[in-house]
Amino acid sequence: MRIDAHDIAVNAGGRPLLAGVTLSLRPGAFTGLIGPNGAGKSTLLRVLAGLSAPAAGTVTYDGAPLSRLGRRRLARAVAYLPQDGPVHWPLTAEAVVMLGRLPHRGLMGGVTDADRTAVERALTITDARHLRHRIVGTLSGGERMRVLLARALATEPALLLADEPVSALDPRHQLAAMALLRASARGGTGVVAVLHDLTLAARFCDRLILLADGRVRADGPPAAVLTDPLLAGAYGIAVHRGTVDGAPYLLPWATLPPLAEKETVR
Amino acid sequence: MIPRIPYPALVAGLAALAAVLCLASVAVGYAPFDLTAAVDDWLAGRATLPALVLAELRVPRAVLGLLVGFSLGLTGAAMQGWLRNPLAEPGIVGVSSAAALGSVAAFYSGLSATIGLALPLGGMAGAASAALLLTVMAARGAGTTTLIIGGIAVNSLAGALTALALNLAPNPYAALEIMFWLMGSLTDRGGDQVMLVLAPMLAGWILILSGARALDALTLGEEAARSLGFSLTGLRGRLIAGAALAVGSAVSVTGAVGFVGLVAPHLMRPLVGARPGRLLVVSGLAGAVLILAADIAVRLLPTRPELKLGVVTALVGAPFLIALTIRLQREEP
Repeated sequence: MRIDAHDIAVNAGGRPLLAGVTLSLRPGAFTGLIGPNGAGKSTLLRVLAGLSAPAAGTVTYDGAPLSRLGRRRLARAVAYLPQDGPVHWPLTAEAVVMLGRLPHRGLMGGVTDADRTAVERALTITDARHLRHRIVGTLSGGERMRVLLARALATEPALLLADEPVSALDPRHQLAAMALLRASARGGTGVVAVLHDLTLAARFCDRLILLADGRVRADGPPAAVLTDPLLAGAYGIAVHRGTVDGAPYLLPWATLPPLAEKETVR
Repeated sequence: MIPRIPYPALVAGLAALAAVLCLASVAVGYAPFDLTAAVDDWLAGRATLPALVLAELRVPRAVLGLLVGFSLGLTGAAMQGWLRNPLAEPGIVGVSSAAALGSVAAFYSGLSATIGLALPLGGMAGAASAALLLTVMAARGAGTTTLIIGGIAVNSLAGALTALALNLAPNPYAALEIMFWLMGSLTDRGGDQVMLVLAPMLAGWILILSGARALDALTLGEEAARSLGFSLTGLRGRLIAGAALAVGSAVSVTGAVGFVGLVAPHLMRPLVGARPGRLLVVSGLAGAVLILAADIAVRLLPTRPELKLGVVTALVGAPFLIALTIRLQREEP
């Protein structure tokens, strides 16, 4: 499944949330969607997932628009993990992960072997097998995140679109979750994740898309996107940089005055 | 932890219990009544008094209890899953009270005196107009909260118009008749009423049951449900139409029998691992069991005049609702 977005515009209350966004997504890569608050990251992810229609522009899935593909077929190919996704009833973790198989199941009919295999694999990848009989509401933030991620992976999608999957996790679980997302990208499922932590984005992602004010400011390998001028222009910050065993890290170090930010953009 | 009963066994068990209560309901009554003789006469086609009581009163009463209970329990489970709110009830979207208003209008206008089926037809018309109003709101993209507020508005309007009918009732007896009917009862319902409500109820059940998978998906919220391939506008349409058909016809023959739609899903939820899709049929069967048991109880209690079914369910259901609200507050401070 390839997603092509062309010249996307989204408005809300007369204010543009996205304008002229063009990008392509393919399986097999871990893409980070970064940018300041209000840049339009979540909006873009929802448009790519087919959950909200853009005011202008087109989104196609392997060349076909959603109207031709159908929501059900899209649901088998593209999984969407909302930010802070709720679980409304006291379901067990296993039952929640099984919900990821709904796009593959008919109106009637029971659970097939393929469903069970996919659920087992998803629980194994996310290291959540021991949680299967727990009620999701009783899990810690990290455990809950892994179960919800397993739900999305159980669909066996070509692409996984995840909105801030690691923001609410402690550092250890952040590292584990990023490694997990990278592993599933290596395994063939393309992952697009909205991220706030620039070091995690730099270390784990194959590609970064930097959004600011509803526009794509940069799109490419992390080293080409996380440059001082681009970060100053998009976030209005100066960063401190370094490397550990060849892997880069960068720490937001100082805010820049708004004037300097504008000059950098010019 | 509650020991898990396999789902097919749970469904079979509840169905068997409902069937037993149906038989018990046929056997229970005030008049001395030889059930075996009545069945013999009925099967042989002899129009004796026991056979007539059996075919015209006892069997329709038991069957209606089953149908109405299933409709209320099923719709309650569907509403709770749809609104993701354990306090939801068929009444919440205004369908029950609008159905009651429609039947009261048939009473008040005197149509029910001249045309036997005016009462149920009025109830269905009331339910349908409430459902239509909700569908119009849904089509304009109203969210769940808007629909609940719309339901409260419909409830208030129907309540006000019902009170108006009582206020303007030509004589105290007419007002009393309306009041008694509003309390809800299965007494003296006939076979023709069963036939009238059977088709709309079945249609409503099918519409609601077709939403089982979408209700499961809604556990993860509206965004995730749509991303799993479900159309929420489609689900909303099916549930509103299904609730109007099932609950509208139920209220129109029995009057307002409250709280079954609230209590049945609650009792059953732990037994199906809280899965909204599986809760539907199980909750419907539990609703049938509750109504049949309550209807047997009103006939066995020595109170005279007989307690109305709706009074019994409200007396049991309202404290249940209060306890539930307190428990939910404690769980979600």
